[in-house]
Amino acid sequence: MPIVLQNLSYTYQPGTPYESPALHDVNLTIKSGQFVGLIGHTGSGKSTLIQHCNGLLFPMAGQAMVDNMAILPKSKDLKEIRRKVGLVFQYPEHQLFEETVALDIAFGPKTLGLDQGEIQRRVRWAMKMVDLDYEKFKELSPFGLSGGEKRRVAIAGVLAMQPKYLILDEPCAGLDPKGREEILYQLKRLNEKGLAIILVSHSMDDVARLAQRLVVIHQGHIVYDDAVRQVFGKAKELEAMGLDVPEVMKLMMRLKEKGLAVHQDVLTIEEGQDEILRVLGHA
Amino acid sequence: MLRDITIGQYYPGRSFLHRLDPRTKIICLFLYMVALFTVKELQSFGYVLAFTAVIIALSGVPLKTLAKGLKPMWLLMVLTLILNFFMTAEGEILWQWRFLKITGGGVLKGVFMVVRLALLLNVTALLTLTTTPILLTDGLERIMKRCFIPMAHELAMMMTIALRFIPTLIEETERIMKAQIARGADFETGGLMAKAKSLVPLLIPLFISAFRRADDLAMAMEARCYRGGEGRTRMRQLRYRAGDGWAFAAVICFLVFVIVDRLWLKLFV
Repeated sequence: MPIVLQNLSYTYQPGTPYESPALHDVNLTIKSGQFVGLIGHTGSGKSTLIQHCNGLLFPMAGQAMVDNMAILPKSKDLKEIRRKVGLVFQYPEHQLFEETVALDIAFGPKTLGLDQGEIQRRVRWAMKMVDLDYEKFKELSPFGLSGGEKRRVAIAGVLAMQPKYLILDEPCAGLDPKGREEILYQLKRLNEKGLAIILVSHSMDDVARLAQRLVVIHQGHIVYDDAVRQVFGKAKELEAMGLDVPEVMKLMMRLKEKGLAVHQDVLTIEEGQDEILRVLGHA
Repeated sequence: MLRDITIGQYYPGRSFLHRLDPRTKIICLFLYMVALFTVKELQSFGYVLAFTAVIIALSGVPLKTLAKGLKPMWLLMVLTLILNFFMTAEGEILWQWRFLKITGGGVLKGVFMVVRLALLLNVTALLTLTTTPILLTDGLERIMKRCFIPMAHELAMMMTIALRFIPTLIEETERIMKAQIARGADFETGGLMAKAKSLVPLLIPLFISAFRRADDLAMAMEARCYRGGEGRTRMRQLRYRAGDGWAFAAVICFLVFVIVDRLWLKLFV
């Protein structure tokens, strides 16, 4: 049972001079367990789109559904929908407010009305999922942590709700390479455990490595929605939209220009390595 | 919900009012207020209303936008109306219940006060709606300097920054609110205590981010060698144009007419 957006449109501040259409007639289905990459230029409507998935925004036309529950302003299911669809905003460490890491992560489960034991169990579980040692971090103030640690605490705060779908808006923005790798690795692990993940990213390398499916949004329209390899096959079209292809793919294109007969549809460095060795006759 | 806040909001346009010098607008607003408080009779509001209608028409701001700006003040207006209804004892008694009574004079006074308040709020809103914050504080700074108010530049700069950060902080509030709602926070239901308590996860991150922004801004200003108003020149100089002369003439005529009417003509008494 999936997240379904049907013929969805949304406009910000309609009827004022600040009116700006954000989404036009968007159709999208996210099945459970999928790992979907969502890419688009700044202002393309990505953030608007993901806020429709858990009822922070309501469609002005069309409809949005999560597991057969319609997302409507006064719906009784809204709480359940928001629990099922975890949303991690950009710079999620800005939402931290509690005295200790453990208390902050417990905020979500507490609002669900769980008992103390269950809350404890979930906090431990969520911290394990993001590789934070419970004993070491539980009593620390979240404001004294490093940038990468703060972000992991914030992600754990959403994970503790035990969502079925996890949407992350640029979870790696502003982190150092080590912090990025850790977060991406944890996302991969979570997905392997059956959590559906929607990753909004500006890094083509990251989505190429992790996602199975890629959705490209441009000026409020979904332009491509296909397997990652298929979408990155349209390098020229992506470039025209201000987007890009993974670095290793660019390398392959350059090699081909120089006369090496490689296939271009490689997504990761490992694939690229194999392809070059194959063509050079070393495989 | 938060986007309804229109304090200090700018309505982009190229109308007559938009193109006036900010100093003209500030001084004219002041003169208009004097006129507004000179009027003592409800009937005399007729020509004040007509004059205000002309100003609104010249601003190109739709009535809907103005009405929206009044919305947060409706409680104050209703309170004004009720207080005047019950506290004034003049003229015939319209309605009585024990010690509470409404008199004809009270009704007139209540309506008078509310109309005056609405006009005041509307025309003040027009100032910020037709003037960008930068121009507004520029104008204020120049006026304050003329009046030999010390620290004019610093005051104006503080005001610019405060105005500039209203939308940013509103945006930030919405962002944090959404993040906490996504974690199951509930800002709408529950009693007063529950509501106050639910604000903690919103206010703490908001304060932290406001301090962080202030810090960043101070650093950025220092990096650009900002050192107060002394010897500071501007890229865009304010200059009075023909339109400003007309605006001054019209407002001064209006004020004189209001005073003359109150003291001698008593046209509508």
